[in-house]
Amino acid sequence: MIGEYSGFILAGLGGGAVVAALALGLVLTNRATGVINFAFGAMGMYVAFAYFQFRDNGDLILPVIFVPSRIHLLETPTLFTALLMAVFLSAALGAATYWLVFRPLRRAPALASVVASLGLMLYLQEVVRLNFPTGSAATVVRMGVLPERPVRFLGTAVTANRLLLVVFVVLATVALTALFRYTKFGLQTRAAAGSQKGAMLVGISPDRIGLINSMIATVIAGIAVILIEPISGLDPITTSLLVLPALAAALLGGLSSFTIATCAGLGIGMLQSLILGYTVKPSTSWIPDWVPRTGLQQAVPVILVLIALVWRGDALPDRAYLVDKRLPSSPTPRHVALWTLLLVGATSVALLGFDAPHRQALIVTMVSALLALSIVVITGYVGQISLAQLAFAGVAGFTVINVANDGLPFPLAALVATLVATAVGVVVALPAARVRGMSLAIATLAMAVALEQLVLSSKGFSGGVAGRSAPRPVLFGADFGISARGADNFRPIFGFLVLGVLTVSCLMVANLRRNRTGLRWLAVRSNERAAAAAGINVARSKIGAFAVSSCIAGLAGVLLAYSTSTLSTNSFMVIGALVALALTYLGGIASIGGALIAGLLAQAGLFTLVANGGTDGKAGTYVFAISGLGLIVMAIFAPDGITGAVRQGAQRLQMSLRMSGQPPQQTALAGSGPGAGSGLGAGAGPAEGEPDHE
Amino acid sequence: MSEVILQVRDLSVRYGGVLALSSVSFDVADGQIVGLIGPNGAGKTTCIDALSGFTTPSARNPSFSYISFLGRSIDRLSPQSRVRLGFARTFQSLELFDDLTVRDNLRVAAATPTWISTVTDALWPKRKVDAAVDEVLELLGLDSFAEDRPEHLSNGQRHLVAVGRALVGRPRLLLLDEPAAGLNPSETVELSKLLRSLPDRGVSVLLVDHDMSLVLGVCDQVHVLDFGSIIASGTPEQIRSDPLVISAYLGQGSSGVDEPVVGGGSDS
Amino acid sequence: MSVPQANPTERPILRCTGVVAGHDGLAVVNGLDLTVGAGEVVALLGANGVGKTTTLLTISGLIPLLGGSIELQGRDLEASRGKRIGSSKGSARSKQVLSRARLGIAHVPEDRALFFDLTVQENLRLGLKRKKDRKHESLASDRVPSQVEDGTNQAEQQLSSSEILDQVLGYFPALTGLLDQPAGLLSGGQQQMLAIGRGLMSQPKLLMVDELSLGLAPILVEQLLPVLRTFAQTTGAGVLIVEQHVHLALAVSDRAYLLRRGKATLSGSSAALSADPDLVEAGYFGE
Repeated sequence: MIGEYSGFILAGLGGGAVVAALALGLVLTNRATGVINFAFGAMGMYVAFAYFQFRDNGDLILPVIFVPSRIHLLETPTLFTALLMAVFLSAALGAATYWLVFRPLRRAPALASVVASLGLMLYLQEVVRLNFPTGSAATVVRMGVLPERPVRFLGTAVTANRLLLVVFVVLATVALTALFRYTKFGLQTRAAAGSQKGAMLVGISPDRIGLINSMIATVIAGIAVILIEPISGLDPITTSLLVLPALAAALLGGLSSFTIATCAGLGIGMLQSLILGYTVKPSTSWIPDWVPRTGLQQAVPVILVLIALVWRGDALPDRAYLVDKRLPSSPTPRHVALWTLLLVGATSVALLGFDAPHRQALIVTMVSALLALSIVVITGYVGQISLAQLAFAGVAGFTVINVANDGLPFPLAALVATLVATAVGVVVALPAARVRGMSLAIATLAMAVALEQLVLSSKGFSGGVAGRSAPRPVLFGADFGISARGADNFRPIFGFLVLGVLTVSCLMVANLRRNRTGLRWLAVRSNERAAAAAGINVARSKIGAFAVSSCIAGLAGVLLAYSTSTLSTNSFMVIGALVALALTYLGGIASIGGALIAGLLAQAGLFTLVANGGTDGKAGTYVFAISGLGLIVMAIFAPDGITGAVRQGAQRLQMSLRMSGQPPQQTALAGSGPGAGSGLGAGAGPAEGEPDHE
Repeated sequence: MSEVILQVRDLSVRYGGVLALSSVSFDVADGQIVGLIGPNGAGKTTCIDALSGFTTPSARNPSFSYISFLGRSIDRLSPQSRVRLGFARTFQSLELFDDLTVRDNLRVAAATPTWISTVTDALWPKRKVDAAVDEVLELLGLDSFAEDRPEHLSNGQRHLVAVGRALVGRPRLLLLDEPAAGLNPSETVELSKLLRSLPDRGVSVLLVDHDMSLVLGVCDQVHVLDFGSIIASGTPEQIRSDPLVISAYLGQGSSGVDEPVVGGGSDS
Repeated sequence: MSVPQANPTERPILRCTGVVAGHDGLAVVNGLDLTVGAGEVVALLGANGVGKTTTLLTISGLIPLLGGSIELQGRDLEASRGKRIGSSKGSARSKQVLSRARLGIAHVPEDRALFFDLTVQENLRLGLKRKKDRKHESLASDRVPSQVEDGTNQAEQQLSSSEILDQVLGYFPALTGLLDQPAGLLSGGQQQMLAIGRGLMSQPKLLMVDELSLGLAPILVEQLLPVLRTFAQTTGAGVLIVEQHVHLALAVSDRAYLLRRGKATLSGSSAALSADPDLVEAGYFGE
C-alpha cells in the first residue's frame, strides 16, 4: 500500500524542503524580532531571480525602481561567484528589510507589521516583474545548481536534487539548532526573545540580534528558492505564496522550534504530493466530483494551521498582553447627511456624464469600496485582521450566479447569496473568539485559502477555470444589466444600482458605528479585558462584527458577479485579499472615507485609469510597486491612512488659525494625562470639530 | 447587619510558582464599604481579578462555592456574566477606551446588547442619549468633559471616568482597584466623598488600595492582606491599633502596641 | 544594629542632582537629589506612584532623563553619550541602557525581566560583561581608585567567568542545584535570587533592586535582603533598593530617602528613621 505511493512521497521532498527552509527562516525572524514576515517567500523569490540572471550573464539586478537597476559585475560568472553573490545579496536584503521596515515596527500593532510585510511582498513582486525579463521573452537560461539525475533511494527512483535539498535543509536546521544552543550569540537571541528589557539590562543590543538573524534567515530562504527552481519553477506570485505552507509549518512548531518546523515543512510537502498521487488515481472514487483535487492538496496544510492556532488560543488575553499599542484612530462619522448628498450627487453626475471606460472604472471603484467597507468594519472597527473578506465575496458571487441560473429572480438570488456569505463569515469568526492579532490574520488567511481551494475552485460551484456568467438582473421588468453594445456598455443604470447598495451600506455602517454596537466594537478593539469588565460578551461582539462584515463582502461579491461577463476563480485569489487589505489600510482602515479612497485606488478603478491616461500608461506600470512602498511608509509613519493624514492636516490648520494668539503647548503642561506631546506628529488636538467623511 | 451579598471562602490563586492569594475569606454586606489594604504584591489585584472572573482560582472543588454573589455560586461564570449579575470593577491602570469620548466610554457599559440590537443599530441614525449615562456624568461632575477623549483629561478626571464606567450599569457591587493611585490629596478627598455616597444609591463597594488614610477613612470593614493572606480584619479603629498591621506597614520599631499610629482609637 | 556609617559625600558611587524624569515627557520625579556611597545600602521609600521605580529606570537609562544630572563615580552618564537625548526614540534609548550596563550599573527591575526559557546557568552567564568591557573597566579603575581599601576590588576584575559564577553562587547557594533548570520553572524566591544573581555577575559598581519582596514570603525576604548588605560591604559597590515594606527596608539599609511627589522629603540614617516611626508615617502619608 505504502509502496504504491512512495514515489509520490519522495517526489514531495523537494517541495517540502523549500517549505521547510522558509519555515526555518520564519521561525528565526520571529524568535529574533517577533515579526511574522509575509514577504519572506517574496524575498527568496527575488534573490533567486537575481541569482539566475547573474549566473547567466553576470548582471546584478537590484530591487529598485526609477533608477537604473542593472549593474554588470562579471564577464564570466561561475557557479561559485554566483552563489557567493546570492549569499551577499540575500544578507543585504535581510539587513535592509529589518532595518528599514521591521525594526521601526517592533512596538507597532500586529496590523501595521502585517500591512508592511504585504507592502514589501507587493513591491518585490512588482520589481521583479518590471526589472527582470519574464514570460515568453525570458532570455535567461536558468542553470540549476544541483544534479538532476535520478538516483535510487529506499527502492524508489528520485532525482538527486530533491535529496540534496533535503540535506541542505536538514543541515541548516542542525546548524541553527546548534547556533542557538551552543553559542553566545544564540544564547543572546533566545534571551532577547524572552525579555527585551532584561536583554538590554545585561548589555545585549536587540537591534544587533535582529539584524544578524534576519540576514541569516534571508540567506536560507534565498538559497532554498534557488535550489528548488528546477523542481517547482520560479514565478513572482506563486513562489511568493510559498510563504503560506511555510507559515503552517512554522506555526506547528509554535514559531519557535526549528526541528518541528523543518519536519512539518517536509511533511507538508510529502503530504501534498501524496494527496495529489492519491486523488489522481482512477480508483479513488469516493471523493465527490465537486471537490477540486488540487484544492485538497493546497488546503490540507492550512487546515492543520487552523487546528494548531485554535488549540493554542485563549478566550481573553492575560494581564501581560500589551494593550497600549496605538491603533488607527476611528473618529465618529460626522456630517453624514451632507457627505451622502455630496458624494451621491457627484457620482450620479459622473455616471451620466462619463464615457464607457470611465463608467467601468467608476463601477469597479464602487464595488471595491464596498469590499473595503467590509474590511473597515472587521479590521478597522473591531481590530480583527481578516484576510478572508475576498473569499466571502467569492462565495456570494458564485452563489448568486448558481441560484439565479436555477431560476431564482434577481433580488432574491442576491439576498440568498449575501446570507450564504454571512453564514460563512460567522463560521470563520469562530476561531476569532480564541485567537487574536497576528495569529488571527494567519487563521483567516488559512480559511481564505481553504475556501479558495476547496469551494471557489470547485468545478461544480464555480465552473472551474472557465468560470460562470450571471443572467441579467431584472427587477419589475426593468433591466439593470451592465452590458450593452459599443459605447453604451457599462450602462449607467447598473452603476446606480451599485451606488444605491454602496450608499445604503455606508449609511448602515455609519449608524452602527455611532450606536452602541459600534462603541462595543471599538471597546473590544481597544481593550478586551476592559470590554469584558464593562459587561461586553467579547466573543459574541466579534462574531456579530464578522457577520456584518461578511454580509457587506457578500454584497460586493454579488455586484461583482453581475458586473463581469464571466466570473472566474481568478478574481478571488488570496493575493487579491492581501491587496484589498493593504489598499484599505492605505485609504484609512478605521473610517468609511478610507474605504471609499481604497475603492478609488483599486486596480482598474478610477485612479489607475486616470493615472494611466495622463502618462500614456506609464504610471500604471509602477502603480503596484509604488503602492507597495506606500504601504510600508504608511504602516510606519501614518497608521491612520490617507483619511487620517487629511484629517490631521485639517486639524492642524484649524489649530493654527485658532491659536494664533496663544502659546501652543498647553496640552503638554496641562497635566497628568499621558501621551500628550510625544509621538510622531500625533497631533493630539482638541477632539471637537473634526471634519470627517461619512 | 444587613444581608450579605458577596461571600468569599477559601479563595486561593497561584501564578506559576507563587501563591498570590492564599485561602482568603471575607464577606461584603449590602450597603457596606469593605476595604482590602496591603502593600504592593500582597495579592489585592489578584483578589479583584478572581472575584470579577479574570483569573481562575487554583483550588477548584466543584461542590464548593468559593465565591457566592446574592446567594448563588459564581465560580464558573464569565466576566461579562458576572457584570450582568451586578458586578462592576475598575482597573488599577484604568484601561479606559482611549478611542472613545468620555460619554461613549460610559455608553458602552450602560446596557447589555441583544442579538437584534446589531440590526436595529444599523437602521437607526443615532439613538437618544441614555438617561443613566447623563445621570452618572452629572454625579461625577464630568458633564462638561463628556465629548472629550480620556487622553485630554487630567489624571483625576480619568479616574472618575473609570469609576463612572463601572457605575453606569447600576451594579450591586463595585470592585475598585486602587482608585486613588496617582491622585493628589484634594482629589483623594473628593473621591472618598463620592465613595461614601454610593451605599445610598444601592451600591456596595469593595475598595482595594494601599492608601491607609483613604481606606480607613471610608470603609465600614477593613481586611489587611500581606503576602497573599489576610492578617487582620476589623473596623478601621481596630485595624489602626492592630500590632500585626503596624509591623507590616511600618518598622518593628513602632510596634509599641499601646501607641496607635494614626489618630486615637475609639474602640468598638 | 551596628551599621558602619559610610560617608557618602566624599566620593559617591552614584550622585543624582536635581533629577527630573518621567514617562512621555511628564515629570514624575521632579528635582531629586540622591547619593549612594561606596559600600553603602540606600533605600528609597514612599507610597505608590511617587517615582521610586521611575528613579531606578532613569538611572539605568530605560527612560530618558528630562533634567538634572546623574553621575556614576564622578562621570556624567548623559554627557558620556556626547549629547543629551531627551526623546525616547527606541534605538537611542537602547544604546543608553547598553552603555550604562557596560559602565557597571546593574538593575533588577520589579518584574525581574528574567529569561524564562533559558536555564539558570544561561541567565547567569548573560549577566557577565563582555571581556572587552571588563578589561576597559580595570583600566578605568586605575584612574579612579575605589574607596574601599581592602584591595579585593582589583583582583576581582581579573576573575575568570567561572570564578565569578562561583562567587555569585556563594551568595545564593540555593541556585547551585538548579543550574540546569529553566528559569520559568523556579519559585518566586528562586527567581528573585536569580535576578539579583544575574545582576551580580556583571560585578556592578551600582546594584539597584526594585521591590525585592514583591510576591515573596516574608521568610525569604529576610534571607535575601542581607545578601545585598554583604555584597555592598565586601565589594565596595553601592546598592540602591526600592521597597514597600518600610521596616524591612530600614532594617537592611544604611540610609534611606523618603519620596513624596517626586522629591526626597525626608532622608537620614536608617537607624534614626527606624527610631522615629511617626516621622516616617507623616512623610509617607502626607498627614
